Amino acid sequence: MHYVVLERLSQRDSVLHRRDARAKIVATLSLLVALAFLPNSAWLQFGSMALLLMAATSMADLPVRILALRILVVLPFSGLAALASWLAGDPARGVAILVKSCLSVYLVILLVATTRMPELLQALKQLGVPDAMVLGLQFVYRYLFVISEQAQHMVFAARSRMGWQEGPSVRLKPHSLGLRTAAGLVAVLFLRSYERSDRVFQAMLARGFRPGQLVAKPSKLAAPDILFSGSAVSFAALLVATAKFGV
Amino acid sequence: MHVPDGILAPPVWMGLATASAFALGYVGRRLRQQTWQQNIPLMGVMGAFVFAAQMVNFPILPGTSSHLLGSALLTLTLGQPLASMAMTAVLTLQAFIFQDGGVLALGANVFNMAVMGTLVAQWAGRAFGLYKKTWGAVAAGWFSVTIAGALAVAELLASGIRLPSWSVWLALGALALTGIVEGLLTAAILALLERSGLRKLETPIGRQSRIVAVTALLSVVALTAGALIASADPDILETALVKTGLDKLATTLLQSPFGDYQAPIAGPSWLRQVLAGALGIALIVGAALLLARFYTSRKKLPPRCTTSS
Repeated sequence: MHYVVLERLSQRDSVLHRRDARAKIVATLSLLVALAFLPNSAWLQFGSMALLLMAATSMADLPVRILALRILVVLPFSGLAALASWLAGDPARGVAILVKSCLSVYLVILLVATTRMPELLQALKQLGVPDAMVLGLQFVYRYLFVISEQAQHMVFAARSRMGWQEGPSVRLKPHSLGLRTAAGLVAVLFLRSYERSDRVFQAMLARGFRPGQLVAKPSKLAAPDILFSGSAVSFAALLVATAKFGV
Repeated sequence: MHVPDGILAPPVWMGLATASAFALGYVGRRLRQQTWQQNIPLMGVMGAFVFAAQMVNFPILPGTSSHLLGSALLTLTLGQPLASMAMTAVLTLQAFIFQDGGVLALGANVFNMAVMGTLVAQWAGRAFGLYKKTWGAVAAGWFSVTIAGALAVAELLASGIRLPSWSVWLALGALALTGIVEGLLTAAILALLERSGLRKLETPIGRQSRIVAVTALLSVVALTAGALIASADPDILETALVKTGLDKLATTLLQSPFGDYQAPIAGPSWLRQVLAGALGIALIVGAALLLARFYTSRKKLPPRCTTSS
């Protein structure tokens, strides 16, 4: 599946991959906030942010083409918002929307492509997200692939019963699934997921599950991590300050 | 419907993130009173189910297709608290893994779909469910999609993005249409689930007082419409406030705690309008809830998420 790509990229090794997940989250959030607070015409700041992110991409040795394709994910929404804004007679804001949303997505992609999921979740816990939420996220992530695969199998089965051979895409031909068929498919998927959650819980109990217990071991911040997030935060502050005082 | 980063204005996403955090904290406390360890695998696996169910496309009109959003289905089967937590987990992972919806905008997306989407589904289910269960499910699906989408449009407008009025109407029309399909699908799936004999799922439709649900639903619809109108044209809100004399109350209430907060973020008048709007919303919701409380004596709720053997 296409989103596994980022997961595979996160298994690589580089200066950025080795930084602590908390440091990377803090850096990403501070740069995102800086972007949100930049005025619409801060071209110098947008440009330097883009340069920084490209430098980070090459430092982390990430494939540019794949990242560029991933960034296009935002276009359906922000493209429409930008278009509507342009049609309403505010083209400057339309362009700013596009630039800002692309840069924001680029930031998040860099975070996910350089951080393994267990480390990311562990960092969220260490940053103070409640246990129940982190556990829930862990579960969704773990069963996401299992249940998506089950759904894929069921869609294939439904399609083969209806005589459709349409390549490996998950999407059915729009007119090949009626509402009723789709509803039946989703209902069966629901039942299977619900029963699976029961079995999972029994298995957890059998293995001595206690709430508040998380798998990954807590990480420690090293000096380079603090330096990394510190410089990201100060870069973000610098961007906003220069934009506010009209540089 | 997943709002990405870089679109919403800082006061909007900050305010909605705060609201979502409070709502989820409340929900989390309610869940903790039940056997919450069991709820975690349920929430996780059903969250994964929502992901997977969104991969199944079905037709709306010839040439266009859509997929289930799922907050109404989860609400009517697992109950609102658990559905809201599961949808939050789904939205969080979508923001990170799929980059579907922004990270800073996560608070806004959670507010639209995981908080208001599920609450509205619950209220609509109760309000319409007494006639017939199917209508409750259809209404729950329709309201959850339409209200969540309309809120997203209102947030765009409140962020100062100017949209041509025809595009707003187009978006609302498309939402209403998707809502119908969501409602029909939710009803069909629920009927199938019931027929399969899954007794463990206790549908919370029609078990609780209807007047609370109707009042709450009506006030949410009125507020969403109000938010749309007010953010499209802030002057209307201002004249309404001045006419009712609420503006003096709002300024006196807001001046003290937010007095020095106004300067750095935006023009003071704009921020004051947003805050005044928020205060108005809080007042109306509070009044509606008090009224509903007054009419009904609320009994202790039975646990929603029944344990299985």
